[in-house]
Amino acid sequence: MMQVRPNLDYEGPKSHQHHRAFVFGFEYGFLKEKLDQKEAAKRANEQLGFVFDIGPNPWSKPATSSFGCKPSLVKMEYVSPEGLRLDGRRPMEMRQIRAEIGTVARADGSAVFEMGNTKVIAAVYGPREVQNRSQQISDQALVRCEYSMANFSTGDRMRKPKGDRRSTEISLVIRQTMEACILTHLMPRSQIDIFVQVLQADGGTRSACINAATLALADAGIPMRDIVTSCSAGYLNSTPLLDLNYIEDSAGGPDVTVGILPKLDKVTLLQMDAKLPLDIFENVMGLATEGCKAVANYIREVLLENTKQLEYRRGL
Amino acid sequence: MLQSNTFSRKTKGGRIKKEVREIYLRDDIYCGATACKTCDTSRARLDASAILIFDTNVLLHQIDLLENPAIDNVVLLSVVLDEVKNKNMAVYNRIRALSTNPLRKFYVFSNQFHKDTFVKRMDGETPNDYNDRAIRVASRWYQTHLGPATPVLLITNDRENKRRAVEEGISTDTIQSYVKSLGQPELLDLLVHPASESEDVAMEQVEDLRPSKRQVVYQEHKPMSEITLGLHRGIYHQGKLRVNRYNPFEAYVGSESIGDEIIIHGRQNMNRSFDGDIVAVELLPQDEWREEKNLSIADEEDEEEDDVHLAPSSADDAPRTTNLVSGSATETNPTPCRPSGRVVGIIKRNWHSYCGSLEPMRMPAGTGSFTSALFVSKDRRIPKIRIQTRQLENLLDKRIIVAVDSWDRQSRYPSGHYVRVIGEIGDRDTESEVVLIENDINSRPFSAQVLACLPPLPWSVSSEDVTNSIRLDLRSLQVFSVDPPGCKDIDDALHCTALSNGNYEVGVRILNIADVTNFVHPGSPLDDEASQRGTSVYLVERRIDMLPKPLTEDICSLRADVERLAFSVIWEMTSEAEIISTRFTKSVIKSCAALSYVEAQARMDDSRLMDPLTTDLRNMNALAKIMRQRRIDRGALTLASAEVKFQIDTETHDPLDIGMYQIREANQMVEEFMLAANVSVAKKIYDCFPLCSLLRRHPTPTREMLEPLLCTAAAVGLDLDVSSSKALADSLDRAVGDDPYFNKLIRILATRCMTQAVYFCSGDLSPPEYHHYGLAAPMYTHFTSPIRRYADVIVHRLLAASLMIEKLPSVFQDRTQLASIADNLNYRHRNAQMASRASVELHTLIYFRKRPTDTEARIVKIRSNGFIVFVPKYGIEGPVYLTTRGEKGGGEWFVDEPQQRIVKMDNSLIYSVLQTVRIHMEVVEPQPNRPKLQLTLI
Ligand SMILES: [Zn+2]
Repeated sequence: MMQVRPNLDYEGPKSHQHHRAFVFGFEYGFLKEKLDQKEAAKRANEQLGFVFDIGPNPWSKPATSSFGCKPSLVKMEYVSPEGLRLDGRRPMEMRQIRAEIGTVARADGSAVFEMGNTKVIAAVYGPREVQNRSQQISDQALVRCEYSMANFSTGDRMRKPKGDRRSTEISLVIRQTMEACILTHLMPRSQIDIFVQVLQADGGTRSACINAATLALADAGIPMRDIVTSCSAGYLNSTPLLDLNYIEDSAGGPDVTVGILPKLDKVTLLQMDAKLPLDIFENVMGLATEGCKAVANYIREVLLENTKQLEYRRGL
Repeated sequence: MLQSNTFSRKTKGGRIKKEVREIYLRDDIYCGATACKTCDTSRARLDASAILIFDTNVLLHQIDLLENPAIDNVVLLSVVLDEVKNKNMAVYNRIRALSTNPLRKFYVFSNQFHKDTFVKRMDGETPNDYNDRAIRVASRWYQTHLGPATPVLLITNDRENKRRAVEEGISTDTIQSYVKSLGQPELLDLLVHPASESEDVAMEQVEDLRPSKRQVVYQEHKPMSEITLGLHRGIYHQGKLRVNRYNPFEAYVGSESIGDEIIIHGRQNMNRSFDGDIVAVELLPQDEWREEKNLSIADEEDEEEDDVHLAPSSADDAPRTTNLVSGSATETNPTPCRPSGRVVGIIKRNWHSYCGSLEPMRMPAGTGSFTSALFVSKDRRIPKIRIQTRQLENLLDKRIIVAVDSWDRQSRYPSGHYVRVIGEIGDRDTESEVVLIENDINSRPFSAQVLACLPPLPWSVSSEDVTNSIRLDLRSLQVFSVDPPGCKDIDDALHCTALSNGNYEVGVRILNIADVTNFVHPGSPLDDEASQRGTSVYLVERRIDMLPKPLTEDICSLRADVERLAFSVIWEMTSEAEIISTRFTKSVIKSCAALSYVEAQARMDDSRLMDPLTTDLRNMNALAKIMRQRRIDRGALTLASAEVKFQIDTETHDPLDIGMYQIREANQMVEEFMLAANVSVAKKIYDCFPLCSLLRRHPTPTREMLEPLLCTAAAVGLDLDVSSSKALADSLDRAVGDDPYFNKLIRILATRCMTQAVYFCSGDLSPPEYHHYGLAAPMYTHFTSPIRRYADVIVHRLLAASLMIEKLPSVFQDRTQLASIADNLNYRHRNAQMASRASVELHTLIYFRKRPTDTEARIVKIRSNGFIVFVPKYGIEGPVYLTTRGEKGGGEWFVDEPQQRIVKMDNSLIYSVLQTVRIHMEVVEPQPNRPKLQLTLI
């Protein structure tokens, strides 16, 4: 989808005004309340092969009629004709990633994960006794997740509200994604707490959170089916772009976040907040999946290195 | 694949805010020289000769020079391109076009991302200094990278930058001396001479601004900070300046803050702004609102001139002045006047290049040196432009293109530079090209990419098309088309079958061009091109197609006796023309006859003919008449305009004869069904896509717009009720004068008070605003001519999607983009009409060049020194002077405004509006090479 805007001064936050549609393991479940478009239009759109229908485009403003003068088609260039993005990457390239395990000594497992300027810290407590007895599950472990953003994580240093719609939603996404890979049935009547905090936000926080949580869980020695890795991809200037940074993310184009279990080759998370024709959607999703695999390779290396060091320390 | 060096930099946003951005530096950005041994040369374009690197200002100002093939082997740095893009999008697009042109050697080097040419911003460094430093670093890199064998030349006119470059061992030059060194004097004309106050390297060689003239003519523009503040406080008002097409000394600024248009009178108040500029305006004190007006007329000097032109067919073509009489009579009647203002600053320039010719002047002694000349644009809204040229002799009798560079306070006229010659003045081909350029019409042949989208020829309907379940096989039906004679792009055909229950099945089939499975695929180069062109343009002697010829004239033309794919609208109608049901379907048809209007009319009129085709025609005509009557009862206006038809010599393309276009019943019949189809389709697509349908609306004219009509009507004792379209239609019907032409004349005058209908995106307006005033339809769109209008292509896609045949292309999800498409269509549509009119005007001139004629004319407007007449036979109007120019009425004649008369002092002669006069028409040449049509009273 080409993004054409009348002026370039649009900077507004993107995800907040949006309804988001969720898919877990390809089961469609809409979190959104109600479609405010006319029913007929919606049905028609679904028929026409759009992936999700998310209500009217929040950016479209009434056009000022400029009859008689040449309309200015100002198109923001997110990919230059030379094939370079605003930060010098090529469309299929990821930002630099970096991970560190064991950053919070008190936690049972912890990790810091960076994707470019996005920096996330995750800490895992558990498995431990369930704090609130009424929540105890007799045949599996209870997984809880709390997501927050540090007040200093964005440029404006505003106090970030807790428990708002967006953080609740991301907490839920992370919890459900992690739950899908933890072998919860091995730890009945216990509780696992995952805390993730965004230290620095520059797009792709959701993916970074999941990657950090995976590392922290591994560090805590919690049994998992496979590691979960996540990466996002978008579609701007008719080009699929891997791992969007904040500027690209704010462009208002589609943003597909994918989470996979690399060994099992399964998708555990798929999220998008825009409309895309199916064929393009498949391309973008494929790109994001490739990104996940690259992240998985890196995470595996980090874990291996970590294990080696542990072995070394234990004198093995 | 990824360089891991990470840098950060700060940028300050609206509020002071730190932004950190990563930059990934790479080693896979290549120099672009074909001879380079270390780089990947697969996309290299530069040869071994000297490599040029330009700085931002040179690119911005000298784009006309760069487009000349003499300048080549250029490295465009991405830092420079970014700056150009921020400053001037149009120039940026032109540079981009150069960099993709395979014939030119322009290579874009992304210096900001190259590991060796990246420059980190230093504290306290201005963006300008930073860019200059980045340019120098890149130049030096090229120098060392390519070695001494390939010279690298940095071209900059910035003195400081030049000095530092020399210090750093980079060879540099100014653009002027570089062009001189090429030894091609004609290139020098293309050079833009920088404004004198700028810091650039002084232009020793061509300083020709005569000191005696160096006095301040215009007020200073306010600095941007002050303008922003003023806008914020409501002292200034921002808007786009539009200059009156017929009076270049009057301009309007539509201001949102005032909610009204601000009138700017005179060049002084316009303060160097051009048509289309975004300006900041300050209101004048209220007591000056009227006074200014008179002043402006006194100011006009010799420049104001009324030309004979084509009679306007809508308010958009006509002068916008509401008071008919300028000059003496104005003080006596204090009409409510609109706010007047003056321009205090220009927020965004709309300068581009203009077509025109040089003002005739005497040749200066000695040739080959720079002389300054005044350029007069064909577009009267543009002031004269001063240019410097070495080839004056050569240019005087030519149509040329000139671009504007600057306009400082001391000079009366803006200064510009010569771009290219179009051809000789008066030559038909030249003037036609001028018409096209003036109206921004792309008449270039279609590119190879576009042509590659065409299906292989010869094309015919395939068996898959016929058996396709979405397509109805209607080949057995008796389908026919009715069009103007010689029409090759037949895009509609009709059929009419009597049903057993006494009803009729009537179908309109429109050629199916927007079929995804067929020809114009959404997003293909062909589609993009068509969407840009927007419409076919009809000039008198040629047609500029929206789509390539094979599509226009063959594959998509519903010619007789060939199978074609179509999109059909089929109604079941009672014999009272009540629509019982409507069906839309794709179909395969085979037209049995391609009739012309004349043939169809002749068949209907010939009572001896009883063949099925003629019966169908008569049935349809009967239905059409009922539908037409019903539409008129609803309040649709029967408007009239003076359509002129030329007979063109097939050999010389010169006009042989002109006359009014005759409208027959057959025309009206076809028109009626097309209107009905458009209305049906509009409803259907709106029901399915209420937010993203492309519709067409015709705004209700305001009372102010109808003022000229009411004035004229009152003068001849006619009472028009304009409270609604119905009331107006009725009173137009009642307006019958002594002669048969009177009613038509009143209708013509009414038509020219209305604005044009416009396309819009349904999501942007509320349903009451969808109204089409002229057709009295609540909703309307264009569906019936997809070969020549892109709007129809869009509507075809919407209709197909609403029938669930095809997916809706993704552009319909983006309302902003849809709105910009609608804006572009309106712009193209308008330009196409302007071009057609200009072409007719041109051919009228050519026609009368050899044929001085006496004819009858009607007075339509009274002026202080004469009147404007309308010549029905040729569809033109122009001034007839009662006094010689310069006398301005004097004492001999006085204007009786309420009666709309001009009376001679001794009462011996009276001319009143709508009166018939006999005039003589002749082409005269008051100045060499400037022929014009002159009307004189007999
Ligand atoms: Zn090289």
